[in-house]
Amino acid sequence: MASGPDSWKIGVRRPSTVHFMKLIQDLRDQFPYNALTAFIVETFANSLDAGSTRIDIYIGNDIVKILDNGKGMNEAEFTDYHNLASLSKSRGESIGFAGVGAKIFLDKVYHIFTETKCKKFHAASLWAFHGESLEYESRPVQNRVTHNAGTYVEVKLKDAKDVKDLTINFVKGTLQQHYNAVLQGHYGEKRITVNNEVLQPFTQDPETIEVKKEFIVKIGKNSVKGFIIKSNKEINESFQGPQIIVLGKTIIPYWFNQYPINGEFFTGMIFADFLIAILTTSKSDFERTSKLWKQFNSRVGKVVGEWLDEIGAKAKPIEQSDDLSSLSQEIEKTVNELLKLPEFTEIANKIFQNIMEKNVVKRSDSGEVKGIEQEGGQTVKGSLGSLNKGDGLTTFGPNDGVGILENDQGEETVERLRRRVKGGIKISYVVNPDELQEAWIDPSTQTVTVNQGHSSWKVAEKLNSAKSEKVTFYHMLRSVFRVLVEEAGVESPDKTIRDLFKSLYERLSSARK
Amino acid sequence: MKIPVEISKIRDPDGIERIRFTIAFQDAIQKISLNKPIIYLQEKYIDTIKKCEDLIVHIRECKKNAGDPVLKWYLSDVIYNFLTETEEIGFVITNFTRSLSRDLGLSLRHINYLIEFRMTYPKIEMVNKKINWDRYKEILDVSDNRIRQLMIEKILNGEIRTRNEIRNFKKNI
Repeated sequence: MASGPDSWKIGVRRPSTVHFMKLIQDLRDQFPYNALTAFIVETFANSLDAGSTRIDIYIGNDIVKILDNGKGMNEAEFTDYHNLASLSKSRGESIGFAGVGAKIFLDKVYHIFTETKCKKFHAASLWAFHGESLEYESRPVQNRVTHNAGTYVEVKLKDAKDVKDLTINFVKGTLQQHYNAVLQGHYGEKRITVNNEVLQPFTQDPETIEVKKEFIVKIGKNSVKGFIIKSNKEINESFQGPQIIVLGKTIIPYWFNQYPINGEFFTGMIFADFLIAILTTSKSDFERTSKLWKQFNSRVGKVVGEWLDEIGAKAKPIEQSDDLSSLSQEIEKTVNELLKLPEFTEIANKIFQNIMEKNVVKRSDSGEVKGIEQEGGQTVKGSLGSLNKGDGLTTFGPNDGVGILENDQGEETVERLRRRVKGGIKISYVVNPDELQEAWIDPSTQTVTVNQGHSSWKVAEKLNSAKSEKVTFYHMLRSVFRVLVEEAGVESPDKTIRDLFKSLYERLSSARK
Repeated sequence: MKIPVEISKIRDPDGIERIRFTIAFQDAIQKISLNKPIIYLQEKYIDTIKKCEDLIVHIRECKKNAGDPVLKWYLSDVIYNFLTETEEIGFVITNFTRSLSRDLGLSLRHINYLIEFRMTYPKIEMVNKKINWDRYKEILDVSDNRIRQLMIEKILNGEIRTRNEIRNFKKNI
């Protein structure tokens, strides 16, 4: 950079500078996957955007070669290709990230050799970093483009880890994961090879297909075509759930806020090329706050949800019927009574009493501490020491509304209080098949964690939906009862749990009578 | 009605505390199928934290990045999208700001600014890179779009420069 007495002289114009290394890293950071994946995904995207029907990839020791038979670049396009922030591709027309392609890897290679050929132009370049300076030079063509038109890209890797990781299987897996729709032929006939072997798509063995749904959904002028398969075998994790495809690229797997029972047994493709208009810059997600996404989500979600319902695969929330409502009240009572039993006095004091007593704050002009408004206010009734004090005090808690929380950066003046806040057992979920316990308690947060990776839950999930709900319900109760009983150190835990269920049953029976 | 969930750090049998979404026992037994969306949101929250952490590292790399409103917009967008999805699924997180503050090491006020920023400027094109993040923070509480736009022009023209000048301008509105 120029420095000295004239460096800031009024009226002297200077070109802006760009830190290329940083720019490339920033571009790469926008992808939700690692650098190698981004390199493969983007280079392949460029070949697809060029209309190629044949793409040959060769992985050598530290060399990657990609040859396509796309339209190639003319002189202006080839010059622009070397502009790192090239805007030669318009938004909403291509699946590649603004023509980035292999450039996204420039800082991690010795060089990129590119040869391109179209009707009136045939040229080659060598592009590399020389220190911090990014430079390209024209090179004699080596006739690497063996088709009438197309582009050849050769990359020499620098980083030993990349050399180790960039295997044939990695490239095959990455392309299957991101371009399976292209490999399956949904976007015209294309021949893709990796080290001279035709790359096969991931497909579902027809014999394992239990049921298949094909559909077309109209959204304004556009239509969405798709299919979902339920298999009798668990699907490879990379292909589980409906995959949303835009111009051949798998953007995301998405369940439209439906959560089927045994989701790992489903796969599918939903073709929605028009969603290219709302793809994020890196083409790896959608602008989910857009109107188009909301329409897509709701219309396709409805079809998917109805089908899941039809085949009994939708996990239905239990409606709050009168029966169930009274059941839940009974359970609450039972749990409260459980805590009053002499065996539970100790645990009740040890686990719950302290937690019900919390430091809270309320607005007060004479307060000496600061507070800030927070979402999730609750009204606290009663207080430790006196049931009358504190009635109706609005404070922070698990309900809708605005509460107040102590915060020294807040602008409200508040005073500290000790209050009995809404307590009760909380539930959290985890899927951990390696953990042998079905549930456990964290006394400090009063939370029972239910392990849905436990084999007993797997059994429940495999039942039909109506049965599954009842079994799941039973497991939930048993898990909570068991951890409380175990934590209390009751001498005969099994009998106590049986007594609890018996008591629950009797209460329910008498309530129904 | 949205179901309240709380983000907590729960100690597992191996002694390690992990981030979990908790719901009331009553909600859990009344709506048995809540388990899947809860686990989904739990993973999504952890993913959101990772994305935010990456952006924060980038923002803290140098002074220039720290003041860059575009980078702050990206950060606010990640947070906002998570909140939107949570609501779409039918939950309300009762301690979101506090949890995010704990998990990202940002102040509650900073997080509130970010959410406010994303709500005020739903598209990145609306954010002017020439205006420092500190200046944006100062004008976020101006509810009138026209006045806020006028302030932006004045900041760009150098008519109001310092935080005090912005505050004085606001006082005189």
